[in-house]
Amino acid sequence: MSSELEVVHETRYAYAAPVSLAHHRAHLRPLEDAGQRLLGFALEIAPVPEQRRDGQDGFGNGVCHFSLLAPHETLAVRAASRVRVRPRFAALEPAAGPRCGELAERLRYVARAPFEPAVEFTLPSPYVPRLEVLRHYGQRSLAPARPVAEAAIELMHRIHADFRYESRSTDVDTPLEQSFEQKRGVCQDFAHLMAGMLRMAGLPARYVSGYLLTRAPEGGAAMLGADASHAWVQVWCPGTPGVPADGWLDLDPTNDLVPGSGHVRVAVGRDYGDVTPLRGVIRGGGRHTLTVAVTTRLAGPVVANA
Amino acid sequence: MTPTQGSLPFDAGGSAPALDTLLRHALPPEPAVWDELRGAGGAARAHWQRFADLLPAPAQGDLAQELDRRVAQVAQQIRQDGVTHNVFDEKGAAARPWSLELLPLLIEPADWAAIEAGATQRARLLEAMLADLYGPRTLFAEGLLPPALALRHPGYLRPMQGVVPPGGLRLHIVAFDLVRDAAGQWWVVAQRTQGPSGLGYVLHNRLVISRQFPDAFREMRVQHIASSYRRLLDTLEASAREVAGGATPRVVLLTPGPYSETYFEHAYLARYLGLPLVEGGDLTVRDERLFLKTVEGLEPVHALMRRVDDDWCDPLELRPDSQLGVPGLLQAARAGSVVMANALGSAFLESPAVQGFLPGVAQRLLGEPLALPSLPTWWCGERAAWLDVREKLADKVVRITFPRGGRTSQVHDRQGLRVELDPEAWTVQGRVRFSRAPIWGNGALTPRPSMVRVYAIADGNGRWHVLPGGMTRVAQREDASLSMQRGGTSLDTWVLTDGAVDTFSMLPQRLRVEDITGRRRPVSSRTGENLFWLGRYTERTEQLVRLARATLGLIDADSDAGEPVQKAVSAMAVANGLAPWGVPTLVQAPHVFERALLAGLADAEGATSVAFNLRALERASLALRERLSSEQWGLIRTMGERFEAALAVPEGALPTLPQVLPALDRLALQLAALTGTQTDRMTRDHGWRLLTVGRLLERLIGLTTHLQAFLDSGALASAAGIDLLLELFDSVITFRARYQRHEDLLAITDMLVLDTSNPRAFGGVLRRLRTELRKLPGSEESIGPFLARLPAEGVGFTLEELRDAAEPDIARRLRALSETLARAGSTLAEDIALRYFTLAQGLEQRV
Repeated sequence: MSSELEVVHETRYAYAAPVSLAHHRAHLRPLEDAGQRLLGFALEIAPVPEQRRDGQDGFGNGVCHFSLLAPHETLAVRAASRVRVRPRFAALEPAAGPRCGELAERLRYVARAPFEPAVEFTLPSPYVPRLEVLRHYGQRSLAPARPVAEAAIELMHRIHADFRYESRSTDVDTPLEQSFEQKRGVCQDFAHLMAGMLRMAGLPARYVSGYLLTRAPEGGAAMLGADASHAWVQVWCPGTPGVPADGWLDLDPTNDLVPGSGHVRVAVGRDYGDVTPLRGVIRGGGRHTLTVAVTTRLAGPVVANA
Repeated sequence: MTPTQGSLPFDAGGSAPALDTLLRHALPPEPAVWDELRGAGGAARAHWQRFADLLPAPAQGDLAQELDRRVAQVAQQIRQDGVTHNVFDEKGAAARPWSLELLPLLIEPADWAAIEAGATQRARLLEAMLADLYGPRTLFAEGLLPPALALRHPGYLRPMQGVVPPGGLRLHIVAFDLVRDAAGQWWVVAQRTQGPSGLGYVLHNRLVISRQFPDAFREMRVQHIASSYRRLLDTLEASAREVAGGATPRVVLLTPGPYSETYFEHAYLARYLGLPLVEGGDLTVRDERLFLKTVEGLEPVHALMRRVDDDWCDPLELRPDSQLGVPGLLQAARAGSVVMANALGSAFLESPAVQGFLPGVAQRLLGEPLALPSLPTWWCGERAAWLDVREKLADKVVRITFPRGGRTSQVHDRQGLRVELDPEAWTVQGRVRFSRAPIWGNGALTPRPSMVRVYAIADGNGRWHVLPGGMTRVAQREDASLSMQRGGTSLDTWVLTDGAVDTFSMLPQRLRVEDITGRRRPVSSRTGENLFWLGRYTERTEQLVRLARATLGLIDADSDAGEPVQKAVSAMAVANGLAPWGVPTLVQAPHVFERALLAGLADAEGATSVAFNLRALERASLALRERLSSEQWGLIRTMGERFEAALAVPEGALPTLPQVLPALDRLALQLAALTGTQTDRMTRDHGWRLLTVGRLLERLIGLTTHLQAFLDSGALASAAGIDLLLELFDSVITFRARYQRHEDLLAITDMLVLDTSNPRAFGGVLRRLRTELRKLPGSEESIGPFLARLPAEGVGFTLEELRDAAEPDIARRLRALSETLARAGSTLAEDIALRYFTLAQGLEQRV
């Protein structure tokens, strides 16, 4: 059963002093892929930016660059999306599909061997450095002979059990090592930690920025992270039954589940830095306050196999 | 070599005496390395023999003494020209004099031909690699380059994928570091694509060394290097012209600022090439186009010669903590509205690991074998390579594949190195024993390990040219980095030719009229602000010196100045920062006052006295290096250095009056020279005007404060007081000529207040101020409010109006005027900052 979700993501900056010039980059437009269709999208910015360009970034995400050239003391960005999401991994058979060791071996560089673009996501990235502690933690699950999907799901269970979700326990500048040591964090940390563990085992892992329903259409417990933009990971396990042709399987370690039709993908990248929902560099402004509100709700009837 | 007629030594019968002297002083060649000076058997190579023949005759003593003298001359020249590089250590950054050796490195035509062909091919190759890796990525697809070398490198910029820069060229200049092995073969040890450093030093090295050996330079047909600089600029301008859409393109040189390692050469190159030297804060992106913030508003910029590393160029999309870049620059780059030399995104090519894959890549992209070999290289991320090399590390160098920040990638301490944990991160390279270049110093010729950096420059038509020369560095010991940061030193590099020498010398090509009108040098807001403060600090220092001399004179001589004068001087000394707040006056405790004054003079950090102002002056001028003549810059630097040196005392002691007075006298002379340079030797553009306005405002504020202090303390009642005031207004001579000894208030008022022909009278200052304000950039309406701050004419009243006034009335009037003008001066300074410098102000932050 597909579901139609309506998401409103509002970001508001209030500055203590006027900002004379601002350049911003937004990753707020949900993706269109095999699992989801974008039925409607509106990005409203106040004050209206003097310059705006909508396009795609190097990972295929929608990105909007805009600039405000006139002095302003507030900035409000409102992204409203209507998305139809299919239950993605209903037919998943995690015990089938490639094994960890064999997949990692396939991605290792050998002169004149063919190139697999997923290799990019086995490499460390600015927010996900290589850490031996991540390898040690991950290797209990990611044994070479185990099927990737099964091993990754077990890893997700363990992370969920060992780490505590705690709002504001970290910020974007908290080093990953510290999040690991203190065994708590927010959804970005969960995603970064799990991506790092998968990569240390030579497996491709992507960071997904998105939204989720407080309660999945499929039922179940209330979700963590629904009141803000959410983050989870994807592991690459091509050929696993129930995983689309591109090979990416979504896993949400914060909520310990395989996302179904309650998760909306907005952007994928190596880590948070590639797909930050909204960032900017401003001139002036002094101190500022930032408020973010996300509401996600089921809209309209849930349609079977749309 | 068969001597030709022209090269016959004077005593044709014997062997060359100069060469004998050189060889006698030379340390023996090391075994198993290439000796640049001597061939097999220890005989000098032919070109060195010829060089020795052409050495200048000793002015006195023998050749060795002559060479020692010349070494000192070279060092002296470098100090005089202020050639420095910034060195960073635990204590922070410090400017050190550039290090240059007397003897050049000589490269023979045949060697050069090989280098030239190899460097040209490699430049083409790197350009082709960038086009591929930001485009179709066939090198990945065919397994010719490991994806990790680009995709894991912070210098591979995903935001630039699919972007083709205007003109199609990504690299305008590439540098290669070359060494020569024992067999005479040249090897590439590193390549630099991100704003390679050295071009400015190469130019200055040439200037200094060619002058030392004019005969050898001419007779040995050393290739000239000037046209390479022209070519670099031409190529950039040609691409910029496309972007500018027919308008005269504006090219600027982007520097990280005065604290970057090679700031000297940024300023030097900017001046040589005639480009404005700008920092990130001077630029802004609006509507995907790049602009320079000038005192006349925003002016479009079409091309950047870039010395800021990629990472730091745009805090919005690259390193968010960078304060050196321009937010939005990547958007401008993607929109194709600005040409960059070099384009963003080439840094990953500098990785040592790339070297190992170049033979295959060259074959694939160019269909040619790689001409100039790289050192044998094993990237450990390829298992076969690692297995091959892991047991043979002892005689090899281990390098970091993805160096962060700094560029030194060699791992010196291999303790605890565990390649297996992350093999991709390590690269192993074979060692080459560097050839030994001869260095003259302390009466001896020493062979030292050497490396040559050569520069390939694109001509925009798909061809590359190699600058015939380069930056040769020698090290104390065998060390692949030969870094100037760690005690390396440089050599001029002479490329000898069999053909004609290109004698082009950066003469401008024929310009069109619109080029000339379009080429007015813009004054950036920051430059304008610095010039304004340069004017203010120059004037303020001059006033301080005058005041310090007057005050010390009062202490020194058994002066008959009464209490009011002493009070006035004490107040002024405090108000002007010569003495700290709260110090007892000259009347109360003369010795305490004197000690406080002396203590403050040389203190550049704790006090706000003379040394402090000299530092401020130097700081303002540092940021203006490419605009100031070398005389002006040198003068400012020497003033500060010599003043601090003259007043140097042991910890806890105070400088004495016999130490201080001559130092102040000399400083006064130097300041007069500096003011002369500023008034008579600078182009009267908006920058100069702001400097002048700064000077006049500072003068107005200072002089009104002086007069007020004298009036407040009643110091003008005595002849001593009037004398002192005249001295502070630098008007003693004119006053004597006009009024002899009639020291009354009306005469003072005429001479120091009303007179519009006296450059230090209020009237004179105001007249010039009005003139210069009117010429500041802006419409009449925008300048009007500035002028309205000042009396419309003269100082607001005339001598006639004072006809029957009693002295106390005159004094009251003068006091009111002083207050008004002092306030007007300060307000105007704020007005001007707001109007012309605002664009440069304001902090950037990320949100």
